[in-house]
Amino acid sequence: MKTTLAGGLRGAAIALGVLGYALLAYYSTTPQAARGLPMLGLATSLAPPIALLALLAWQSSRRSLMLLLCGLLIGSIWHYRATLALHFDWIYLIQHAGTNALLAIGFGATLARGRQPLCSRLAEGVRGVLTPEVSRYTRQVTLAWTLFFVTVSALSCLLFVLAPLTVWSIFANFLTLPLVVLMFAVEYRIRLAKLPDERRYGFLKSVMAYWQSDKEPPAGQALPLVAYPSLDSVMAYRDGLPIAVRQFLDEVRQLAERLPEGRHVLNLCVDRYRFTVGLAASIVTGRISLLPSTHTPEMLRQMQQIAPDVFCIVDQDDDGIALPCFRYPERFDLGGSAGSVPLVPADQLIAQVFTSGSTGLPQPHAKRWGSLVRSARAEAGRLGLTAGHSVVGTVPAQHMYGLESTVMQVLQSGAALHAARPFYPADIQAALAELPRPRALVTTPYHLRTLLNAGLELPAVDLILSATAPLADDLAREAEARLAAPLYEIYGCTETGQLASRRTTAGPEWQLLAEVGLHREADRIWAIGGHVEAKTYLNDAIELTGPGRFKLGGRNGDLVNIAGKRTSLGYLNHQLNAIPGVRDGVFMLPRNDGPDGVGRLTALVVAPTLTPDELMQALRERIDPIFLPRPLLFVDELPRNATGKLPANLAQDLLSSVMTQECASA
Amino acid sequence: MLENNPELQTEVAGQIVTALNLDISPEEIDPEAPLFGEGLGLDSIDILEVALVISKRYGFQLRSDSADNIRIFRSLSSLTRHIAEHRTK
Repeated sequence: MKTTLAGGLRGAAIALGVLGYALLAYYSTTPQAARGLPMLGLATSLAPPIALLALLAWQSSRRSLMLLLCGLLIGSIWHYRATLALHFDWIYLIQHAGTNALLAIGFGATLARGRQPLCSRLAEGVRGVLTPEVSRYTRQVTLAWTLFFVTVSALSCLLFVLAPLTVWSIFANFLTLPLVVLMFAVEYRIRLAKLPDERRYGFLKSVMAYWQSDKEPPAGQALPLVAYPSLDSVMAYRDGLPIAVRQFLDEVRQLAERLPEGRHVLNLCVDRYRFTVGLAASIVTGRISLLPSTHTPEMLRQMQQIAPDVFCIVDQDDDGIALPCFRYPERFDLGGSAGSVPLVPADQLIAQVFTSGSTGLPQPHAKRWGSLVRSARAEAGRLGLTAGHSVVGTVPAQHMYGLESTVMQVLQSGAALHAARPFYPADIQAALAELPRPRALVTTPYHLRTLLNAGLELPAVDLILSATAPLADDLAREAEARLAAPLYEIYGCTETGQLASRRTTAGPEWQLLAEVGLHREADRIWAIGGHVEAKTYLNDAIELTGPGRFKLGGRNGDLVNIAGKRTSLGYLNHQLNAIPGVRDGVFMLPRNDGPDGVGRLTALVVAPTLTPDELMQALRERIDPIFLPRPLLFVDELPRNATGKLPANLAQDLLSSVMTQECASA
Repeated sequence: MLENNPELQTEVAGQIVTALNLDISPEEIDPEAPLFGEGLGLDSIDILEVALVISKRYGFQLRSDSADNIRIFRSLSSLTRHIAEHRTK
């Protein structure tokens, strides 16, 4: 109550001060005051800039020197006061038109190619993530403000030259501020109309968030970048050589200094160690990593739309990447000092991970440091991964599973990662054999099956982890027998990260990670607790079987999962129908799922002017190769009903008849 | 480098079509067209599938640490050459 009262009084005092100053400034420009009291005009016009300079001098690290300079400035103004008083109107003009011009430059410069518009940055501070719609809108708002300040500045100069000083004074002292308020009001109305979901984010909240973002975090809410027993611990193996935490931190510091401008990073490093250095350098410099579900040209365009300042970190040929690329340095300076392990604020935004969404636009999910660390520690705790373990991953680090299980979990448990991303079975065999025991393999059902079928002599492993698709029981049993290790599966989704684990051979029940809870509400299953900071509903058929335990049914019908990559039919259909020349088209799920979720999609399409090759090429630009239809079938029309819907059974019938015709004609 | 072997090439084309369930005949694969991306349109899952068949049929394992990896899968004829050089059965 007391604070509200004090706040209210302070607000009233500020409002009175602003009004008082405007009245005084206006009075000083009236003809009688300008002639009779020129010193009033001089004093009023100079008071704000001098007060500002004095404040800056007071806050400067070289306070006495700056205050002395301030004093000298005031002294010389006093000395020349008679001359200056004759032209105090010019001082007013420079202040008013100049401030608005500076604001115009400040807003306008952020509209340049490769920079993030100022209003987008403000919005990101509040929301954590920007969808493409919001990103487009905030860019337009930044442009509107730029034009507003340009107009005010130009009008100020025009009135000053063409109209009597009092007219200019009315505009500058009494109209500018109300116009700014009007701009806010109009912008807020338009925002409500264009983006109905944005009601929650008020203007003040945006400014507060921006203010907070530059301040130090409160003590106790920061978590270390890595958790190792000592700076000499091994955190990675690369080309057969161990890399100590000391060297890692030194390279993180050096890379952080070399990264180009831009707050958004697309870390495309294939080498897992380099990816990790890139991620850590992004974290310690407050940059945000973007993790889209695929890297097709269309997706990269959408990333640039969301974050115009985005740049890529690459460690291989960057052919065909239509974004600014920063080449990962081949070498760093030797013998640098690692310093201490950086602390990262728990609420710092680390990454935006994207799901496909059903509207054709990628949907962002914010990942904050505290949540990522808690989830990584919970996973390592469950699996028993500790300092001394080393980890081979067959999955890229650029997706949630790879990020959590092959990077975050390793860094937060004191284990070591293998830098390679082995592809062929013989690569996986060699990578495992290179590492000291205990060693872990992080993989998917698909890679596991290929590994076991390759007819190789496999080295003993101490832990196997699988995720992204359901694992068949017999494959799990064979893997445990051949690799002589327990096999755990991880369950989770992009929105929440990992949630639960099970030992596949021990039964179908999943056990939630520490502190995570599930509950049923309005016919949906929601996750909350532990690293899951906001209540999130899960897109799976889940049967709660006991405290912290559940069984998993099938996925929601719209979701597609092929060899561990996920998207939705809605997203694919949107991309297909967005291709010029496609009149209608629909993707269909595999008729019979292959083993380990490697059944291919089919598509029916109406596109009389396109050849199959042209259409496939256009699709390749837009969707991950794994989702390309096989086969892609051309038809005259789709059996849509009166409401425009496509009944699944009719589509399936059409598909069967077209397939039969193709076979007959072949 | 060994001369290209047309019989082996036809056999490999047949293996690819069978392994990947493609709806084309082996003769339709252009020996010089890219297997990845725009040509035949294979992706990494397909490559693993083909690699598995090759290791079983010709008795050697593919590795990706050689810089040749991209070259090997560039076309049917380059894959055939690689198999001819490394096969043990």
